[in-house]
Amino acid sequence: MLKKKYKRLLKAIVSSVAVAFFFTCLFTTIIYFTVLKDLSGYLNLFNGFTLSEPEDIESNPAKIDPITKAITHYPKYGDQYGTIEMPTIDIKVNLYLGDDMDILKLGAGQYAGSYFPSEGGTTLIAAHNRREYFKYLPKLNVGDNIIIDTVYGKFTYAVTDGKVETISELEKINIQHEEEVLVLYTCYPVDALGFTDKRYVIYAELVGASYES
Amino acid sequence: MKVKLFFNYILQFLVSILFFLLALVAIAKFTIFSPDYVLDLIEKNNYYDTLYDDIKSNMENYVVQSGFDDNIIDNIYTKDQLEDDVELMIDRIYKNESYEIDTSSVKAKLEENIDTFLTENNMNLTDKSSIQNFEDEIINVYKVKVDVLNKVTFVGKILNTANQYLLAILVILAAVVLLMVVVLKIVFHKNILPVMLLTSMFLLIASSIYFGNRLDYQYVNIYNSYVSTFISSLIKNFIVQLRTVGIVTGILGLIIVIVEKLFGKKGRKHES
Repeated sequence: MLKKKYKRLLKAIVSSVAVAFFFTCLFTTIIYFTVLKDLSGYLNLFNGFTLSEPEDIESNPAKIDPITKAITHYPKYGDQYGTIEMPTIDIKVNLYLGDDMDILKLGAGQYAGSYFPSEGGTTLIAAHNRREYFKYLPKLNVGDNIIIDTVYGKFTYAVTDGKVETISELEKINIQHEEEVLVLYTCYPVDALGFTDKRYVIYAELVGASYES
Repeated sequence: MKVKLFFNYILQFLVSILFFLLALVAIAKFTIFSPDYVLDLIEKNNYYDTLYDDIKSNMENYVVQSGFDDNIIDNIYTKDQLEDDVELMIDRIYKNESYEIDTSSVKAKLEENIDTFLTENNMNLTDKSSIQNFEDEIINVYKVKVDVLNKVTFVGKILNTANQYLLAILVILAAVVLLMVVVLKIVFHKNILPVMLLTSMFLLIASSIYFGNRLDYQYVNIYNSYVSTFISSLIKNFIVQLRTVGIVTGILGLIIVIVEKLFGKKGRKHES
């Protein structure tokens, strides 16, 4: 009697599951041939806001060909690739690629749209007017040395000019590739509190270079 | 007779699908479209802690170039204040009402810190326009970081409209399902509940697998890292809910079959 009871129970369970499974297959078939295309479209739209895991690219140190001035393995944005030293005012600051707020908090930042030191173009570097960064830039005189020590070589510049410019004047600086020009700038007046619309700008020319082998 | 059987199965199919849709709508209503659920999830994802640190880090970017000491931004906002502002934003967004993040207390405390700095350093400024620029930037950091939905106000319209329709849809679906279950019981002497619940189980689990594989929610990148983490968590929880409710309805369906067969009228009749 008990066996019959459980047999009937098992039959009922199997029958219910089978019917439910059949209904599921029927419904998914209907969905597949009707709305699935549209649904996929919306899901692809969402997936447009996703980024896959970045590949781990082994970073090799930057190197420069002394003859062609071509750099291989450029530093990545945000990486420190050297230091900038001004012996006359006793300043040595870490040099990064990029000049956003997070980078400038750490040291001097090279505008990513400018040329690297020794590439034969304009190198534009900014830093805040803090004591340990570019506060004493206005004390540099014509002829003073600026040394940029990078992972691919050491480059010495001599100051050619220093002046106060407005932000709009600074934005018009020519990022050219005809001659090597180093441009450093910081907020001015250097002792001002808050934000100013002027910058102190130093121009320098390349006077010496030694390359990493 | 065959026609009656065919009609019976059509109705069973319809009721099962309607119940699945009812479950889907209910899950959406009480998760993604529920402000309380969203706020609870925000807290579980340490959103407020990360937001607090992010605001501080961004403000420091301005302090470092201002000439002020680093402590100029100390205590100008608190985590409790952040929580209140985010809750206000979520609440108003779901109601599609306008709102404004109140930064008056941040401004007042910042001005107090600046006055203290000037006094301690014996500074007496005549032109305070540069300091005003600094204050505006600091306050703007707070406002922009808290009010993440400011640039996507259409989200409020969608949420509010969806919420209104979802409740109506929920009620209508529940009424229709109930009615059809009763009709099937009376007219066809068929207890549709087990099949309905088991179909719902299969469909909910299939949905969770489909969305889990199709949506790259683990790699969402919207606005910033902690907003992305929250959205990813919201979607993941929704998918988990689909699976959980599916399993529960399946177990319920099996229990009903067992109870009906072992202890129901027909079961007892067969025994005797």
